[in-house]
Amino acid sequence: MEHKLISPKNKISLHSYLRLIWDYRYFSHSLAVGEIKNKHARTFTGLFLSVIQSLIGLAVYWLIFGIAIKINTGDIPYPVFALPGIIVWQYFSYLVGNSSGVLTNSEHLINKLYFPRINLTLAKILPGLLDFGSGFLVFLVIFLIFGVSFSITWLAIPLVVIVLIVCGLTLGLWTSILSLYVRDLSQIIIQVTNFLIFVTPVFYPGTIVPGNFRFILYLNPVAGVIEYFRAILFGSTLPDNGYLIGFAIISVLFVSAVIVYKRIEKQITDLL
Amino acid sequence: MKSGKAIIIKGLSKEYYKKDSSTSGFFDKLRPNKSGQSFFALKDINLEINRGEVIGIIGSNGAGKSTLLKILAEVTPPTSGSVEVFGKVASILEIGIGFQPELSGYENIFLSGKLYGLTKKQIISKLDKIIEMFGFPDFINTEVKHYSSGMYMRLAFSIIINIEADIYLFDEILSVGDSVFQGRALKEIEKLRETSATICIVTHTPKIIYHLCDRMILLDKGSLIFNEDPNSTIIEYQKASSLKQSEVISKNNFVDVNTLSNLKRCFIDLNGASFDLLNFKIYNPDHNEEKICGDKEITVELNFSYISSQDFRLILLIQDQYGTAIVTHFAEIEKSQVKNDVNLLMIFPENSLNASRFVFDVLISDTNNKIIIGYRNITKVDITNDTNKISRFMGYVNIPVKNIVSVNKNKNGNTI
Repeated sequence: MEHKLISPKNKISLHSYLRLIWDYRYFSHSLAVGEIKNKHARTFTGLFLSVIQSLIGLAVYWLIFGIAIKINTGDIPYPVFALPGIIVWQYFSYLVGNSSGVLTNSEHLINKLYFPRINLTLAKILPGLLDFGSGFLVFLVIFLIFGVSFSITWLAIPLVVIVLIVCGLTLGLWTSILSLYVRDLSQIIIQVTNFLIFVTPVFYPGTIVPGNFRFILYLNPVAGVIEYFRAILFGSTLPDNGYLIGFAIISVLFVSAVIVYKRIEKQITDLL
Repeated sequence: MKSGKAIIIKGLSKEYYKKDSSTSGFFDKLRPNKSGQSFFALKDINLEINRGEVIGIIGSNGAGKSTLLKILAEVTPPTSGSVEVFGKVASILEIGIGFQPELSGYENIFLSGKLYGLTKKQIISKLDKIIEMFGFPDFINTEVKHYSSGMYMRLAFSIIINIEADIYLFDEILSVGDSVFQGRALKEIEKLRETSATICIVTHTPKIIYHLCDRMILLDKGSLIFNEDPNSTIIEYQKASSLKQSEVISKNNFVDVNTLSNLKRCFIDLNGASFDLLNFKIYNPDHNEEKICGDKEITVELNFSYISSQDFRLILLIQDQYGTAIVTHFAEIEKSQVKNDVNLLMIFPENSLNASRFVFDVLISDTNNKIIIGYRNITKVDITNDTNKISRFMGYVNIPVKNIVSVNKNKNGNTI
């Protein structure tokens, strides 16, 4: 027989909270599948849409940065160079943009049912990953067209993806909490990410940033993700250790986001 | 484990801070304790609910019914006090919560089941039972948006019942949908009751569910003020709500010509005839108090003037506060080519109207019962009852039925 004590202070241990989140993984999964179906299966273009999106983005950036400005990308042709950055950035901004308003958008569910609220954000991982995957397929095609060779380091790709997901989730979790207090935050954050893309080495290699400005990239975990992703894909030398600063920051923010969620979770209904 | 407690609530309070969006800034919201006024949605609730009991939670708007349920459902935390819950809880604060209209019934079974914390395996093991109970196996792969409201609810309930929770919490589910929907929902809850689950139902229409409940609790402004069998609790609820509205309602015991002419609606061309209701009064003739007692004689007095080339009927229609017709009474009026002024008394004998709220309409019809003129919702009147002679909540009116009791005694003299 289950026995539960409901009291003002939700004294649940971190361990059992994580356990609870895990128990509700099916719920997240269902939400994700629903979202994917809504987004893809019921539209005319379907999954093709996200492929086209990445291609159009790539064409524009190729024109501007590859042909007009002629950014030096070494031996790697510009489209092959730029696409990994673009799909990483798309996934990141998807996670941030879609999870920041998730609490206010799911008010009807939150007001009617208990589930770990964090699972709403976790449900965003899968739909974004699908787009990321299709973008990666496009990359593979372009990769083969330009005849760049594979390398054994590709085995580390999942690791990069996991770090990327953590980055997106962390920002998403924090903005979703803070947007309970500042309603327009989720709008602001979309503008901020639109700006952030330019201080992230999406269109250019991080190495072209002068040494004394490099710290801006170091503080930006997505910069690190993209740099490592490229290094792995092209089998080039790993970026300098400065990027680890960003990862350190994001890990701290991630853990603290989970702890904050655990603490204020029950209050969320009243804050909505 | 059949006996024992299902829920123990001790000193439960819930305090809300009034949100004033115009003045409260970012930092005020972060420290709600220091800003604004607060009010208690629930104050020091103490309640024990036994295993297998069906509890109705009633009270007027803002009494804290839904807040109580939300705390039990862990949707919102209490401010102080505690609740001990024994067993698995399924909270149904809304029928079909989390259903995605774009997904099929089959997919929604999984979604809904997962929302209630079931694993895929658990759902699969119950799938056949759910679909069987749903009763429309051919539609299981149809998108839920194409379902009728009845099918939608059947699906929702067949999932809910198969969660096999020990405690079910229902919030106002009977107030959505039409009366057919309500009837179905009630039947489903009756089924659930047979599974010996503990059930809490919040409602503002206690008359619909009193036969289901073992006990009812009455909340008023956040306090638990009554906790008894359904009959006594409903009477207490009506007393409380009629007290609250007595000032407002008593004024309406007399309705004047201005108000009445605003209410007048003609449904056909009168062709030179006319009818004007001049006033509407309701009172107890033998005492002069403002409240009206159902256990005394009640008079409805109407003054009207008319010109008509045809005989017609004046109909007094008495409804409950939800607009359901309870009783009609009519008077035949003779034709008259000159303007007639009439004073009409309709006298209801004592104990004909039970304590409840009634809404009065006056309708004019021809002798074929075709409505010509309507005065809808003339007034709401709360009928009270001073004696406990009849079960006042059991229905709205009292019909004088004769009882003929015959007792057969057997040879030993013991009654059978």
